[in-house]
Amino acid sequence: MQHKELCFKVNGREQHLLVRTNWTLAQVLREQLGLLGTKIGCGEGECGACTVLMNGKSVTSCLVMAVQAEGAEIITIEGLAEGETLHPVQEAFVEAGAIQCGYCTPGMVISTVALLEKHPTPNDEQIREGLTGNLCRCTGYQKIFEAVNIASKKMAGGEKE
Amino acid sequence: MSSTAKEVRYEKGDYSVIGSRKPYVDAIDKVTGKTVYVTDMTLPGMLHGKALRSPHAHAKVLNIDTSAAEKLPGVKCVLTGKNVQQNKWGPVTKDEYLLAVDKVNFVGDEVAAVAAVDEETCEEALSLIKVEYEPLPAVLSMHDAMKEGAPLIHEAFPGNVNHHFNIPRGDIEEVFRNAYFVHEGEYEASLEYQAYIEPMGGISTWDNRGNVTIYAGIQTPTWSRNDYAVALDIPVEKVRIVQPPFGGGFGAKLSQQVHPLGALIAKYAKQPVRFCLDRLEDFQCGLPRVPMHFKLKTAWSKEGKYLAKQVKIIADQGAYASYGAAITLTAMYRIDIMYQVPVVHSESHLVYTNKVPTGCFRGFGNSQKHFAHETHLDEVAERLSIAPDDLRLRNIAVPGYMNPHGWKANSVEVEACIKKGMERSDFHEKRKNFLVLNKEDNPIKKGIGMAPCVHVSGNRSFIKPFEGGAVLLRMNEQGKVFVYCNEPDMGQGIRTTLTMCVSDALKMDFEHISVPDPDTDIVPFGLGCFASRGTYMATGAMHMAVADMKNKLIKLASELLELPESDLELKDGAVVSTSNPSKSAGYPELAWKHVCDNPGQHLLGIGYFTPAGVDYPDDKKYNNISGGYAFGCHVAEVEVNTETGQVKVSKMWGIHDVGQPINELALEGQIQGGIAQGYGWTLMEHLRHGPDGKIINACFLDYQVPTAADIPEIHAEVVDSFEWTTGFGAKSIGEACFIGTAPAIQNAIYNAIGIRFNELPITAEKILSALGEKKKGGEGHA
Repeated sequence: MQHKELCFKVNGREQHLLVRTNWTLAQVLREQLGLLGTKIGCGEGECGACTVLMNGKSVTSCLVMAVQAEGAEIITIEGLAEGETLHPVQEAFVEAGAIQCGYCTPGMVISTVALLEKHPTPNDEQIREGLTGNLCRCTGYQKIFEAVNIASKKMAGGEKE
Repeated sequence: MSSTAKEVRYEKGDYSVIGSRKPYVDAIDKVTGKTVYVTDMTLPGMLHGKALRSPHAHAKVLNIDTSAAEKLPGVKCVLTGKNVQQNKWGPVTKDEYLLAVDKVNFVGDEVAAVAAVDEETCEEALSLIKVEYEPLPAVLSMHDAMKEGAPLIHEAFPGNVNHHFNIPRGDIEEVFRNAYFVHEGEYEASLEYQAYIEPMGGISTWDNRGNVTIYAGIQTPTWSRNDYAVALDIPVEKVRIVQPPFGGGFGAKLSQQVHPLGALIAKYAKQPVRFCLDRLEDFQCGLPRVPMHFKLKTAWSKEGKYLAKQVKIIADQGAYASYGAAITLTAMYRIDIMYQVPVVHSESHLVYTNKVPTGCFRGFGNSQKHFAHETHLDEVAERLSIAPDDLRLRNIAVPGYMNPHGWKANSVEVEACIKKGMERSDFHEKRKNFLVLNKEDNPIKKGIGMAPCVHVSGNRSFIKPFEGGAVLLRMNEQGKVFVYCNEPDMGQGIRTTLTMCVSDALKMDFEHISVPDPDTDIVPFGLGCFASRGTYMATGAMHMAVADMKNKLIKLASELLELPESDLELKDGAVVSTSNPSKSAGYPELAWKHVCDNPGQHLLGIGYFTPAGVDYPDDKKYNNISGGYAFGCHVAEVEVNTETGQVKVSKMWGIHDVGQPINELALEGQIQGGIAQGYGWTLMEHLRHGPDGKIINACFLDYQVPTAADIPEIHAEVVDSFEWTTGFGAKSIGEACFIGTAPAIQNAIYNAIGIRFNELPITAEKILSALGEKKKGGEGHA
């Protein structure tokens, strides 16, 4: 069993960990850092529940080996809110009723943050394209689309309400 | 006992919170990643469990050598069917061992299990177990199961038939002889996987007195204790189930092998064990939808009066029965509460095959039947030259309708659903326009189709004298209300629904109301979330529980304020004098008074609910099975590309009769989600077995569920309705919202290209090939 030292930044904090070389980023986040908001739905990069931001880009953390994150900056669902204040995308998901069982929610929210970074006022096609890697089996996606639009407006206005 | 004699009629109240749009009360925890799901949980001293699964569809187990696995460092125990205490179990038929004894019956059947320090060690241990099999011929099609000479799967079930049902009502041959028009058709509904995003699992721990606690992703905590106790060969009182949040169920997470098997491993490991499936295992043994073949024969008058219906079903329950019998019964006749058909004859054979065991999935057999029946009705409408909505409306059930099975529908607004569906989608105008448009030389052909739907709302239980549901409210000494109920949340939002009812009736803020995770040591007895029970049953019981608590609060305030009870009302978390609003007592003050007057006792609100007019079916399956029936109408608009065979569903409408809506936001979400899942079943999803009995598309890359990219726009709406048999007038939506989708899309595709696809899913390949056949002059049928 091989181990390697990993230095990276998670949700704004430097981390120095000894990680197993065969572990994925998702495993390290969940099992060594206790960041259980990153979910494992398939372990094969097909459902998107484990999506996190790596250097500003969304990745399925079950397909990224932990050692590949050396020097990277990772944002997980736990790192989006500022204290008690939710990120506008999180607020929008709550308001729109875009959450049912919630198991896909962390990944879906992270993908939405990445989508809005790329397209601050996305059209319908861009929203669909941007979220196509995240499966949701409860909502039928309609309220998630609404949430993206609400978040886009919130972020454009820089307002919290 | 049932309450057949009692005529109940609740009136609509003056609601302030009920009927509004509220985000889920647990949404903030979910959106910040704080919600701890079953698969996130750990217990002190916890080990991991894994099962070794059969690679054969059907084989004798000659020998299992576990010696090498046992020696692997990190392994705590290795179990086989021969060295554990277990019973065959199953919710209807007891036909499945936790670990196979002598024989395996499908690819994925559990033959051995290990507990070890981590999953990797488990995997390595499994690879060291040597199993000697003698492969047997397998039954891989439900159509072959009953054939002469077919391999026998279970000794106790000759001909591989688990159940044969025959329910005749009236002389159907006589009607067929005299009818103006008789129509026949065959339809087949395919194997669909629930595809919840969190796979199945649980964590089990035993104490020294032989009590087991299972933290389980489960829809039926109290009810499943009975099944699990049988499997584990222990008394039911020794089984406690706690239901933490879990990532979706859709019917798959009722009684399930994974929970008692995990408990079995923990028992022999003598430590807590986490036993969760990976996605491949979940595909292999997750109890997907029961595939069914239907032969339908119906009789009609010239004016489109529905005279008789005959249905013959073969249902494929795979290797083990699960709820197959109840699901098949539902497929036979549940739709009979939507149409006034005087003569109905239903027959079915539920057969074993050497495939994945099948079980409950949104609609419980009724979805399969709607696909067949509502396709069939469109065919009839065309033959009789009657518009599809009109044919249905000529035969539709009305409030108070009693069908030939003794079922009584109370509130029925299906006519309003159909009419609104037609209006919202501009159905008839579009049909006219598409007729002209589709004649043009354009490879894209447009179509629009509809299908009404019905489902129970709170099916009665499978235990004879128990019909209803219960709610227990407890106000602690700070005036906070806890809601204990056994109609649990799996993402459908019942926690929010119950919170809204308390808030509305007791005039309290959400932040002082909590609905803890169900724990069978604490919650009242109940059945769990299936059969669209939650809203109807739980709010029915809640109506009584809040009334009880309200009376107690007013009595306490009357003593404290020295005012007559008649002068008091509830307002903003307090009991207030109507004549002098400056006199009031807040709930914390009253709750503390109660705790002091009755030392230590919390104020309780007790509610229970038995739907009126519901009774256990007799030996002829006669008697009303549900207090409420939820109705709806789905409309689909499609574009079929005749060059590629691809179908684009441009829009869908779901119009529903759910009685009084409780949470409109959640309701829309349910309708949209149900339609999305139905869309997947119709056009994309099919869990397929190869010639060796292995599932060949057991991953999300090969088994594709709808994504954000392909989901149509879905319009959700409800019609005015009030179900007078339950306190708040609410019916459930969970399953009805799925049921109309497949036939609506099928009927739209037919409208576009004039070809019917009577076997799901309707893939681009099938469409392209059928279009090719049609060009060659074949029939407009596939």
